[in-house]
Amino acid sequence: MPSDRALTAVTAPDGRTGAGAAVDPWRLAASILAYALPAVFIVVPLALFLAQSFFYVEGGHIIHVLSLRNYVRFFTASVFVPVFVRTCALALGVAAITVVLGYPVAYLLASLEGRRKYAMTLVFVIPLLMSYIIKIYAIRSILGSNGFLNRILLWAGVIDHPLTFLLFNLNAVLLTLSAILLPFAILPIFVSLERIPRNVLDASADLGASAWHTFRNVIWPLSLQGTVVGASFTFMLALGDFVTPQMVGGTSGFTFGRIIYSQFGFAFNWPFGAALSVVLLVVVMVAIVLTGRAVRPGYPT
Amino acid sequence: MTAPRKTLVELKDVAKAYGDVAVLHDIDLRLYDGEFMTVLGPSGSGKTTILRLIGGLTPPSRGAVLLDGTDITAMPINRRPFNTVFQDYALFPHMTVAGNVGYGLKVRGVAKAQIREAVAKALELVALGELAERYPAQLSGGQQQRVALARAIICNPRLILLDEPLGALDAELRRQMQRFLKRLQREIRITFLFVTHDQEEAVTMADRICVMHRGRIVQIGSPSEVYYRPENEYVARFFGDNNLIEGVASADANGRHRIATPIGTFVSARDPTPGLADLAAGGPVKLVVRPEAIRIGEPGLANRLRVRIEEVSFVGPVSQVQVRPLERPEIALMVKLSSRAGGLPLVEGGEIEIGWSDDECHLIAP
Repeated sequence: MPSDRALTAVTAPDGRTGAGAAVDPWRLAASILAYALPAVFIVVPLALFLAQSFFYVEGGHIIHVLSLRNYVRFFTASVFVPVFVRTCALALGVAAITVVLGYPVAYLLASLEGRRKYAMTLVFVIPLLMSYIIKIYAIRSILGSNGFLNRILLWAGVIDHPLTFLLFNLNAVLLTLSAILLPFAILPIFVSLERIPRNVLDASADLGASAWHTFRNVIWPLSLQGTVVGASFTFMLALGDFVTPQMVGGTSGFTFGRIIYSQFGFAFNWPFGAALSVVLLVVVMVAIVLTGRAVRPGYPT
Repeated sequence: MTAPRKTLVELKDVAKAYGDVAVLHDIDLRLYDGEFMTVLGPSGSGKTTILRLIGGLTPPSRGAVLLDGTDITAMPINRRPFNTVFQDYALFPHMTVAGNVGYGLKVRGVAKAQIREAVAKALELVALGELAERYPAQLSGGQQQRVALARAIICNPRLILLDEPLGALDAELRRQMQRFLKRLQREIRITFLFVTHDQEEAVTMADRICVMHRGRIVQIGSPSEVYYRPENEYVARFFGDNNLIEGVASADANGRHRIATPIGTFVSARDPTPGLADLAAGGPVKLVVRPEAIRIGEPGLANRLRVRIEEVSFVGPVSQVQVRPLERPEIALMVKLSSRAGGLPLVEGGEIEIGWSDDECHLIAP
């Protein structure tokens, strides 16, 4: 791994020279790359974005003068803050649903033995390799008014005309995002459950604990980190998503991601779009910090 | 020892197989109340499986586990009045020492104040009182070991199962813990079942040793019994560098046995082991002589043999001398003598007479 070597080359004391006294040009090149790549592809665009958010558009032109008017507009115009709050609530809902559904799945996977465990885990991970759009269409064909679910219900006589509240609203966005993002919750929870040594569970039972006590006192606290990581994954991914709301949200399923997208795609107000993105980024960063804090175990390891 | 002892746990005709792989065959084992029993065997001999069967971690494929004569084969692990000290301690990493030790009481719904009192007492017993608020990761191996022990004794179990608990400790700490465990067991009077692969450890600690080999019990007895009176070749070889000599037996008039071997005829005053029924009929036997029972240049011994010294090696408190009989140099015998500061007066290649008394000459089935 060139980047690893580059890092050690940089941190190693100067006195330690390997084959020759001169600096290995390949090592130098690798270490420059290791620092330059993230700088060029992550830090610079973010900085440009941040700068952009302080410009503004007038008469179809971007005015390159620093101003806070984009942020003022976000907080004062009546449309943005409610959508923003609703989107945060939606992402929290997705995080909650994926963890509630993902935990039992991960628990079952972790309790399987041998080859079957990894085969079943693969089954739950494979959807990650499929196209996002295909998955959304699949869900639309299940929830749509002429969809699979409605046909079954009609055929069974439970309803006499197709249900329309299944699709093109905020609940549909919540359901679809939860379904698509579920593997992101399952995986970290599975990993944290896998890490619990078998004999720790044996010890709990040996000391007289029932299955419930063992779960409550040992398994749950030791898998909490993975659960928090899973929740923050799905929260962050749901927060910025604009394709799913666009495709299953209809007019009532308007989310913050869609607003940002429209600033770039339709309104051509890039500075305002950038400012809205910065707001989103702040939330994501807060989420990362909170997750980092929750992930640090309250005990030494 | 003379009073009839109460059986605490009994394994009756137990066998265990994982799929097609049989790990235990025909196990009959009685554990007496209050004793310190060691299950000794090499890895793969089934000793840990015995512990898991009793603890309830693994169900037997056949046979029954009895507690006070009652069948507990189907009793789940969390209901058995036994506690285990696991091989790598299996402490709960997210709980303090006090949390770990009090766990067994907590899940039984004991009141907090009572738990605190019991934890303090248990930690005092293992000399860890001042570390109650530490976490397992902040403790040394020996300290973790003692936490695991305190956690096991706090519920006052009928039996404590210890699965190679000293395996991860260095030699000095190991010896300390051996003495400590032995003392603790006497003090709290709980039955211990201690699994190990180390013969020295087994001999040092146990009241009785159960020697395992390939899923079978090959001998049960006190340390001196398995050491001095092995019942078969496996046990005889497992404890040190015993000399085994094949021969044919004939009974002697004085009740002693005369054994004709390729290197001479030897006399044994020992009772033959139970497995050796046709000794009087002149059947084949194996003669077992401990290397430290062989004397050099001592007159009046019942068994004598002229040998050539092949090699003298100093191994600390004892020196090992490898010798070969003059007439049959293909047979090698091992002699162990106490080391001397000036070295032993033995020359490699020299000829000497060795001998051993008739009561140091043990007989087993060939």
